Formats: sequence, structure tokens, C-alpha cells
Amino acid sequence: MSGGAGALLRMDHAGFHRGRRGVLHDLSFSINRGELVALLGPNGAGKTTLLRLLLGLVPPGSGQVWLEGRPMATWSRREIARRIAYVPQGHVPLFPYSVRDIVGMGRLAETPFAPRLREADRDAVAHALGALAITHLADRAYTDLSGGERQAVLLARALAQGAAILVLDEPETGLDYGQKQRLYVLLRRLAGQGHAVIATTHDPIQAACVFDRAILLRHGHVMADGPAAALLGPAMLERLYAPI
Amino acid sequence: MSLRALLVGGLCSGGLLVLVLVSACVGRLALPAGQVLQALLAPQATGGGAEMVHTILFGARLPRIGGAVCVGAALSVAGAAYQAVFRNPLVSPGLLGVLAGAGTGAALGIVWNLGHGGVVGLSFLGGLVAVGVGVGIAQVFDATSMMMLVFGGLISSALFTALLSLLKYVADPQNQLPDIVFWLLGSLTQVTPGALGVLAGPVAAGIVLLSACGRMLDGLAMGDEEARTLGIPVVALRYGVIGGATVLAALTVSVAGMIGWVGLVVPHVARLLVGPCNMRVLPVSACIGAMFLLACDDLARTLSAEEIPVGLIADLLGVVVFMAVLPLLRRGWRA
Repeated sequence: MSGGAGALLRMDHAGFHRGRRGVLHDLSFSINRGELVALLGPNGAGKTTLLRLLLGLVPPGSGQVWLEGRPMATWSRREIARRIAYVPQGHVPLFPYSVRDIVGMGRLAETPFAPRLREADRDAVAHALGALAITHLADRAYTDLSGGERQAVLLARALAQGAAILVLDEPETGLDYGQKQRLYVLLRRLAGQGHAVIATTHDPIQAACVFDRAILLRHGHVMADGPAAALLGPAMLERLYAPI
Repeated sequence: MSLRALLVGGLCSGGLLVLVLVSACVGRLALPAGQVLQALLAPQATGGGAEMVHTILFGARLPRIGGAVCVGAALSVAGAAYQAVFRNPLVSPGLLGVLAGAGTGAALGIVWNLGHGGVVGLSFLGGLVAVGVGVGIAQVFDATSMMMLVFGGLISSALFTALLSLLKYVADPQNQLPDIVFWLLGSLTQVTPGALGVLAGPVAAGIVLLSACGRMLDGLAMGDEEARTLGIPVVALRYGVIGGATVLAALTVSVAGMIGWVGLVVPHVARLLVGPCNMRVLPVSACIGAMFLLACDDLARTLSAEEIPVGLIADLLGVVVFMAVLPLLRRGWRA
């Protein structure tokens, strides 16, 4: 098996089983620099598991996941964190960390044991806060923020991580119309700057306008993979979201 | 570093210093502060009762003060570390069975008439074995799951509590049982200069090492999977921190008996003062814990003619402190 020349992230006949039940079957695709990829599928299609495979959180049961031409399992968590940043759905930790603390966690892979952030880390945090236009929230408690603001903080943390690949889990959840539009503009800009962005989404209409490419997942199989605008027509969506 | 953090750091270390001096003065024989300072700054001086002051200070009082500082600091840091690792502010250092195990070890030493050194050694060993059993149970089912660790700890605690009861049952009721009961109440009377020397190094090292993991422990607050995507080796970190905190907690039980509750309360006070970042919570917990246990021991030594077990005072005072900070905590955790 080869690593897939040039691809940042590549699934090579990857499958995943939970007990006897197959969750993902024989997935093969690659994700390249500058691509903005939407991952669509009905609930239970395996989107979350696919994200976990791409993040290296679980090893594939069969096949291989390649990161920059090397099998995912050969990278340490720290090395992976410098290359792939994850934006989870907003959640609330128990302790009231400030926004600056949370975004600063994006620098953990650089200096895990340093008592404080170095100059370069603080610059990265400030830059990320600026990119999301949330500098004014820096000293607020993350636990006090609204859903949209929390999403922005987690995105800023991912940017502070300095990774080329961004993996987002339903990033538009809980955002209002304006926040969604700004999110899409940001994702487009990031892809334009050479990031590879892959996001799960439940909004195929938006996805067709915003994303370059769509991967459609149904019953753990890739049903289709191609340019989002061309792929996400009414007939395809009917097939994708058809009841079982 | 923020002004507030500097202020808290200064207040903590200053407060600890003052409290150490006060503790050196109070006791069965009250010493004037001037004489204490003189003896501390010029230990070689003689005449005018200096020898007696010197003997009391260096032979008895300072080792005991050092013991209280070490035990209070170690328990509080262990508690703060456990709370971070388990993402739960209600966790005490005893969660995985270290206190029950250390108590069982000590009781075994007493029943076997091993003498003080044997009791201390067995106690320390018992604490480690109990946590080993808890972690072992977790390993059998799912080494990466935090819930399994909690269950393993529950089982191990129950097991060693039962073994402790068994030992109390078989102990000679005339001389062994009172020893076990008194030992479990917690006391700093047995801290000798030699014991302090053995205790201080590992405690200091443990506090520094655990504090160095502070930022990674913050990342752990985000949940295991998210922490892994931030580059944290979650399972290794969790077991490493549990190992360090367990050694600290077992050390405290082996020299001073069961004084567990401090480890639950003090980190909350620390978080109120410096916020949730463990880089600050851990060292500040150590400092506050040291002050707290020192104050408890001063009360234990001075409240009545007979000395009161410090564990008892620490539990009572801990309740008062926890009640006092509870309304403030609720705001902090969105409870």
C-alpha cells in the first residue's frame, strides 16, 4: 500500500466494526490541501465514527488511514495535534476556564509541560482570537458564553493549534443565520489559505453553495464523492436521506 | 502572570511563613516570638535558656510543623490532582482506595506487633496495593475508561475497609485495638526529624511534578477524546498523575494516619482564589493545605491539656470551611 502522494489525509479501504456490527465499510478517499469538504449522511450513517478515524482516535478495523503518507498509528498524539485540529460540538466543562485559557489549550501540543504560554504561543492565541473576532471575550468565562460564542472559541482554539487539517463536527449547530454566514466565510478563507477543512453537516442546501466537495455517507458506505454543487441535487438527496 | 495570581502567591507563602512562626511559639510550653526567632536565626547561641528553646524547637516543634506542612500540602495536591484527572470536584484522594489500604496496612502492622517503623512501612505499602487493586480491576475491563477506574476504586475501597474491620475484630482489645483506633484518627505526634527528612523530599518532588502537568490536566477537563486531539496522551497522563498522587497520599497516611477530607476541601478554596487553571491550583492547594493542617495541629496541641488527634480537628474544621465556601462554589461551577 502506498501513502497517497500529496494527500494530507487518506482513507485506504478503511472499515470499522463495533462488535459484530459493521459501522464503516471499505472507505477510500483522500483529502488535500485547500479543500473544503462536507460530510453528509442521515443519522446513524457513521459520520461521527468516520471523524474519529480521521482524527486517529480509533484505529480502523480493516484497511488503513494515512496522515501525510504515514499510517495514523505511527504518529504520536502530539504529532497528530500539530497536524489535525478538531472542533467538537459545543459543550461545557465543569470549571469556568476563561476564553483565553481554552484557546491556549490549542498550544498544548507545542509546550505540554511549560508552566506558561511562551511568546509565540501567546501570539498564536491572540491571532486566533482576532481571526474569529472574539478578542473582546478573551477574559470571559467560557461557561458563561452563548452557544455561538462557544463555537467561535473552539474554532479559535483549533486555529491556535496551527494544524493544516481542520475537522469540524456539525459546526453550524446552534448558530443563528448571521453567525452561520460568517462561519462559512471563515471556512472558505481557511481553505483558501491552504487548510484542508472537513465538516459534517446536516444542511445539504448550504453545503452545495459553500463547500467544494461533498462526501455522502449512507449505511457506512461512501454513496458518492464529488463537487458539492453538482452532487447535491434533489435526486441524490432523496436517495441519501431515504428511510431504510 | 496576572496581578491577582502574584498577590495570591505572595499572600499564601507569606501566610504560611507567619503561621510556621506562630506554630513554633504555641504549645504546651509557650515560647516568646523573640526567643524563637533568635533560636532560628542563630542556632549556635547559648545562655539565657537558649539551650532549652533550641531543644524544644529543633527536637520536637519544628519536625512536627514540618510534618503538618508536608502532610497538608501532599494531601491537598493529591486531592486537586485526583479532581482534575476524574473531572469531578467531589473526588477526594481516597477515591481509589489509598486511604483504606494504608489504614489496613497500618492495622496489620499493629496486629503483628511490628513496631513503629514496620507500621509505617506496611501502611505505605497498603495504600499502594489498594490503588493497585483498584487500577487492576479497571485494567481487566477497560484500561482507557475513567468510569471503570472509579468502579475499581470503589471495589478496592470496600475490600480494604472490610479487611480493616476484620483486623480490628481480631486485634487484641486490650492494647492493639486502641492503637489501631488512635492511629486511624490521625496524629502528628510521631513525626521525628528523621521521618521528616524522608517525607520532605518525595512530597516536594511530587508537588513539583504534578504541578508541571497542570496545563495538560486543564486539557483533560475538555473530555478524554477532545484532550487527545489537543495532543495529550490521556491514558498515560491519567495513570501517571494517579501514581504520583497516590504515593503522596499513601506517604501522608503512613506518617500521620487518616486525614483525608483536607484533600477534598482545599482544592476548592484554591480554585476560588486563582481560578480553574491547574498550573496555579496545584501549588496554591499545596500552600493552603499546609496552612490548614498546621492551624489544625496548633489547635490540636493547644485546645486542651491532653492533645486532640489532628485528624479529628481537620475533619471538623474542614466541614466549617466547606460550608463557608459552598455558596461561592455554586456560582463557579454553574451547579
